[in-house]
Amino acid sequence: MEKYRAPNRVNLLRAREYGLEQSFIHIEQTRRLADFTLCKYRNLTSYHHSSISTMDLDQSEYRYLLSGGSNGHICCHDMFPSSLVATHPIVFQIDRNTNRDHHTHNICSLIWYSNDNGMFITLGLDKKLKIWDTNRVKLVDDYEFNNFAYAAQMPSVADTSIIAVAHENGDLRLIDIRTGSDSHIIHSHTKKGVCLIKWFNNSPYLLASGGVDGRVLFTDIRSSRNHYMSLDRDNILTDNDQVKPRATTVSSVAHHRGVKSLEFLPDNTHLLTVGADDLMYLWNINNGQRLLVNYGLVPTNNMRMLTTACAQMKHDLSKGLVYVPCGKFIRVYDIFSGQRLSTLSGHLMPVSACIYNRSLVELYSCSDDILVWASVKKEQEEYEVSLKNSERRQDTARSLGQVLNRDEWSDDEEET
Amino acid sequence: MNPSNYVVTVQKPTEVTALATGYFTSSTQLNLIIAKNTHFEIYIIDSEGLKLVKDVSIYGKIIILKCFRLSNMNKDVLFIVTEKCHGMILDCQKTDHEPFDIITKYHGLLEDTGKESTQAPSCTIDTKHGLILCRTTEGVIKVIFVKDLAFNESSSRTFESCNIRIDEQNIVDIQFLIDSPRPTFLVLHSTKSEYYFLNGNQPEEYYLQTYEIELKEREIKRLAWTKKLTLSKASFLIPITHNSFTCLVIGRNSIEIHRQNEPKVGLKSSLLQETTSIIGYCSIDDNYRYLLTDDCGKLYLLILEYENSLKTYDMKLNLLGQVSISRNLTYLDNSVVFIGSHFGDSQLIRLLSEQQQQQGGNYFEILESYTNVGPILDMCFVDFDRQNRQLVTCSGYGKDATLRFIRTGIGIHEHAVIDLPNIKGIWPLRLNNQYDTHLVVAFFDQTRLFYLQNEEIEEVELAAFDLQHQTLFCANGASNQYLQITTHSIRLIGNHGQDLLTEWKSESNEITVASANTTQCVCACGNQLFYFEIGPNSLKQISQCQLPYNVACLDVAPLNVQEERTDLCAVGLWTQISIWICRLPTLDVLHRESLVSDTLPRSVIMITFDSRPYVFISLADGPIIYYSLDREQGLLYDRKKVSLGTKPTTLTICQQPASSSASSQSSDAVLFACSDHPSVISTVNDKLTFSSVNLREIVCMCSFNSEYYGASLILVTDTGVILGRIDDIQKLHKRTLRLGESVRRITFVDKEKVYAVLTQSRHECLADGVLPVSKQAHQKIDCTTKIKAIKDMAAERNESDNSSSIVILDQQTHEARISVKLLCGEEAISICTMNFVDDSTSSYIAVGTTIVFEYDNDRQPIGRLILFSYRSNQLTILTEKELNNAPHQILPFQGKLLVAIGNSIQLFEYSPQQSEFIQLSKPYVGRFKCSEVKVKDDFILFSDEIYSITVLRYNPSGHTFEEIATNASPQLTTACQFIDDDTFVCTETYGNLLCYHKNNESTKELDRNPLTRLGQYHLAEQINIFRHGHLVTQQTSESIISLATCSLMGATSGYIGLVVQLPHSLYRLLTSLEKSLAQHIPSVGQIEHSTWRSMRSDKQSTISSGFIDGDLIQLYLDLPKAVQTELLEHLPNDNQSNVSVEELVKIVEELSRIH
Repeated sequence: MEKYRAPNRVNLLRAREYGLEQSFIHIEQTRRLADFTLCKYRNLTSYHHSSISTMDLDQSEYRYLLSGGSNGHICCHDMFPSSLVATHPIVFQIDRNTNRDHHTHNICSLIWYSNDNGMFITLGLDKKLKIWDTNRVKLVDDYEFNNFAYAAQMPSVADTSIIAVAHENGDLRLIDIRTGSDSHIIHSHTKKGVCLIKWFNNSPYLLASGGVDGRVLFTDIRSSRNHYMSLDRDNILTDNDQVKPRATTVSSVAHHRGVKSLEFLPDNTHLLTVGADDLMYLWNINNGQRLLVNYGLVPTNNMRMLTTACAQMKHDLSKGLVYVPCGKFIRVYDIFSGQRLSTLSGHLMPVSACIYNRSLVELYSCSDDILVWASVKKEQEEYEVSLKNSERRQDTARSLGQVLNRDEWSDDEEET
Repeated sequence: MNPSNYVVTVQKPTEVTALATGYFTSSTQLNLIIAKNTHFEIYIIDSEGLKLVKDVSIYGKIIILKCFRLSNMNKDVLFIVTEKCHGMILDCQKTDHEPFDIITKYHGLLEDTGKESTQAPSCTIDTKHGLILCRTTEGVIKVIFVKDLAFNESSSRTFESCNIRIDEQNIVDIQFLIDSPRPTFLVLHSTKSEYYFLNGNQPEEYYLQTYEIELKEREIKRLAWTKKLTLSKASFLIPITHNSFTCLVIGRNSIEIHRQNEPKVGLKSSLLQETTSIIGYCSIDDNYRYLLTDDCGKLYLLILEYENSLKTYDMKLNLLGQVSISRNLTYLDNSVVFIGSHFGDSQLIRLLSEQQQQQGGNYFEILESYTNVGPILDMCFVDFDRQNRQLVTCSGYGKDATLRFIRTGIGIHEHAVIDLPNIKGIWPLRLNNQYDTHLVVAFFDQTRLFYLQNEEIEEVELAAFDLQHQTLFCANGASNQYLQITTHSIRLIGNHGQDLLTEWKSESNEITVASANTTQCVCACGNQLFYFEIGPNSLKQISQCQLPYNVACLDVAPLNVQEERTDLCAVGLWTQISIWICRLPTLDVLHRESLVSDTLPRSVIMITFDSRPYVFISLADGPIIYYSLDREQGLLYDRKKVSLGTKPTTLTICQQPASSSASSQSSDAVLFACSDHPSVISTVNDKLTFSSVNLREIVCMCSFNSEYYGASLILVTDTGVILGRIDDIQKLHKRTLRLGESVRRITFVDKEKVYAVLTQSRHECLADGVLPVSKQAHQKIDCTTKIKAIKDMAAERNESDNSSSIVILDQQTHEARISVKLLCGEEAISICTMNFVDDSTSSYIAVGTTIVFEYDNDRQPIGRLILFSYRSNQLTILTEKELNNAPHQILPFQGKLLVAIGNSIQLFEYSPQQSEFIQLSKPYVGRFKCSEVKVKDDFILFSDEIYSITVLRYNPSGHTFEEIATNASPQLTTACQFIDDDTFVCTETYGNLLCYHKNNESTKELDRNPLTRLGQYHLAEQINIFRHGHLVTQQTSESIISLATCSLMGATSGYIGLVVQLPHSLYRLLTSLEKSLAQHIPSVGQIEHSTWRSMRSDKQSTISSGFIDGDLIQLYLDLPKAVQTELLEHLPNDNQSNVSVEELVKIVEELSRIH
């Protein structure tokens, strides 16, 4: 009851003691979302020698980060602990030296199984989709296609076994890994091909696909129709009476050029798309209307596929953020106002994917390396100050950070 | 390292989370159904009030509870949704073996992925079309079709349900229109979340939206009527007319009626002020009168007035009075209302008409109140003299805040109390009656006789009784004779107490000790022991002997209750502290057993428990020693010692032990130990149990089989006599101390026997006519400061109505002795008592305070640390220290003060010379603000709000804190506790209990040392506090369970739980027993036990392990023997330990007695 009067952090904590308020954490996380900085003292044990094309974070522990390189190498990092100074070890790797079932071409999609992290699925440009046992790092099953496949995804709903694969010829292939059947094909896009596929957040039957032709189609896999909705950029949600709502037609396109990114928002009602026309659109998925939000130009730099990350906190709908890779930078937009909030810079090569870790409230991005972003500005500054102090004093007492970082060069100096 | 935790409920949740009324148990009886977190209670409403008929535990936390009836049903059914989104429809039926059998009719998982809603889940039922709408996830409405439910089927089926996407976000409430021809519902929602309004200064905006459900397509169609509302915090939507869009919307401090095509009607009342927030409502009769409650506990009556045949409306609001702060209330019948409270006791009230207004200005009378211990904010465990264990909890909020004193024991139901001080002994007599009629009461140097008839008691004199001397023993003998042994003589009395038949006097000395049964009598004069046989009209001395020392106690009670004679006599001696067993009638000494004790035996008793003879000896300083007795040889063996009280203990055999209802057990004798810690000794399944009685101190007692009261006990205290009856089993007893203002922290000052509590009073939350405890104190002190920053900040604010105080309460009388008032806007948040190493004479109380900026989030709070010394009712402020953040916790640590300030830990020492705090250590800086700190030896367990727990070690030489181990995965810790040096338990916001282990094996010093998780377990309770200790005194050394490391935990719901560590072999056995019980015992709502206990946090789910569900294990005792055997034979574990059913039952029974 006090919460009606005093939305203060101390009071929220007090309300939590009384069992009234559970939102403290969400509010705290929202606050941290806004000021991500590069974590300079957190390194991932380096592995990839080529550029990294895609990443995926497991959704059961929010701990293991899979990354796949353009040379077909796959690597998994343990992102724990999220302390200020850390080197994240490699849990396993799949390449020609370690695994004879490795991919030989660029990795297009990496998918953690949604129920647990005992299984993951990889799709490469070698026209192969492979299913792996995580614990043994062993190939369990694989599927070979005649056509190139650009993307694959599994629904995030529990108890599903269907993988949707987007092919270069415009077909959507459904693979049921329980039965091993891979023959169900939906011819939804034109021959130009599908580049992206995403399942709806809360349904194991509905999926969205984005084509090279700029169309975004919603398909119900139970239905015999190819798709039930096609997003139209001219179908606008507006208060202006002059603009009549239009029904979507077969010819309607979402983007003038190919679709580069599809991302459903956690609120189950919105979809964000980025096209090769350098525009980002926000859609209502229930009626297919485009919301009039102007994000400005979003240069995509000829990346074939972008993975944007949406962070939307339970408590702050209005402060939903999207992290969009733009060249060497990551731009942060407010989803509902379109306002560009900040730009994260740190990569030296074009960024291809961003992954938001909602458990640790941090962001991972990859180009030729993987960087971690989190709200650590203050701690990092304090740590730097303490580092300088300890260097100056040449103190025998090493800071905890140094111990953890195994940063022992100053000791070595003393010895020599 | 193996996990071995056993979790058991000491007290079920007591806060009311949902209410429903309906004809659930039968079509004629109105029921009240009260959901209390993880269980619900079914009451029958009749003319005498509420009668509890069934308490049903649910495998989940109930978030929705609704009673409804479809047109094809003749009684109501119950719809429940749990926190893990298990839905169920329950029916209650009468069956052969169970009058109120709960049957699951339909069940199903109503879970949805997606963004969780910030609003509380809402649910509405359209009985006409058989639809239930639930909204738990944003953007989705779950529709459950119940139209064609087949309720006569016996097995449970899964729901037919579907998801309908809805555009509206932040839905506050959804309601069906009443009796609409097509299913139509109203949605109250906002475009922005509540937090947005709180932070920004924008006006609040809410919208009403109307929808129609198309049953065939399973879609919803938006209807034309929508409305924008500008209420503040609209929270309830009540459709008020049939089949038209008219609804009442209740906001925080506004009430409006909205209608289609009509202007709104708003209520203007002086009662609705800016600070009012209405939090609950219920309707009295359809669409006409409503009861509303606000956050201060005020109860309002809202009357809608119809004019012009339902065309226009007017509203009137009346204040009825103040009840417990309550979100849930329901109108029962006959102007009786049930107020289900979260913060205080629930109440049953009757509304009165205006003429009947009560004295306090209330328009209602309170018929009954029901104890609610929640929310438990803090608790302290007090163990007076290692005996009187009690738990003191800080409960409630605002005017409903209380201290609850919780202890376990056998309860006494008092029939009558007589003031009669200084009684030395008491015996019942039967005169001309098959029931006990007279009481022989011994005082020093005299004896008095009392006659009890019905409720009357009168002092009488019977000619043959010697009333001039202290009676040592008195009893009914055989053939209508009475035996009275006084210090002067042994008297055999006949003729209904009129004639002295025979008398024996000792030649030399006074009689010092005596004992007798119906036919035999022994007495001792100093070291002379005499043995008599009692015949008709005769008392014959058979033998006599001389013992080396004086006799301290004697017993000739027959070993079997049925027998009249015994051939053994037990004698306890002075000086050479020992027990001798003599053969009767010769008084030959069979056995001498030294007691290995410094204090003399006070009483000795021979008694048979489960056909095994024992000898119990009580010593003058409290403990009881008992031996097994060999009847033939008179040998004592198998010595065991139990500590009970600290004062001389008297043992009495009591023939009718407990309540009159326990007819099957009434033939068993139990032993009553009278001392400052009165206990009942009995056997349960061949195991001696010692149950404490919930009384302060008992001098002596006797059983009294009264005609009027039935089998009763007479218990003698210092000041008088209690005639009463005792319970069969130990129960929790709660005493309440109402404080009248919020209490947040408590600590017990052992040396001075006082409680120190931190209270906070907000002016608007106080009750009328109740003086807050800080204002009642005998001595009031103002706590000033010399710190400039704090002084300035306090001066900045002048909210004289909000004040925090430190109050010292007497442990015995609970009176407030001293209260210390803090500065304006200063809030006390932590307290501890301690002794500094170099000064052990006075007790110190350290208090941490902070200044809170209510509307300023970015300003860093500042705080101070105040040190008081408390000695013989004098509280002195010694020193204070400015802190740059809020001190969340203060703990004594190796004679120093460990303070958790913001996200850091610092160590302070008090220097009496300079009388100031000296900072000893370099602060350890954690990652986030600390939630709880615990210490054990050198180790410090630090838990922060969002990351997790960290183990630190204090290095005294370098004055540094060293981080030893930390948990990597983030969790929102609320409380933590040490089990031992290497094992820790903690709880987090989502109601899970976690156990961690620290690896000591790792030799690599530089290696990071992560904590390994040993187990996780879902409690569905938000635990606020852990305290080491247990309520039950464990007396027997035979026990298999060690209570040394166990902890009690207190939750916001009033739940109190116990975590115990079990031996590994037992843990393995019980794990497999738990598994097979989970399969065998049907769950209400078809929720699997493993699903219920699996850890759930933020959509991640992990199967439970490392903890045993004690509540489930205890159900084993209720099963029929055949089932018990079958379950044991089919235990899933194949490495079967060879336990028999009897042994297992014994183990489980022992486990069920630890709480």
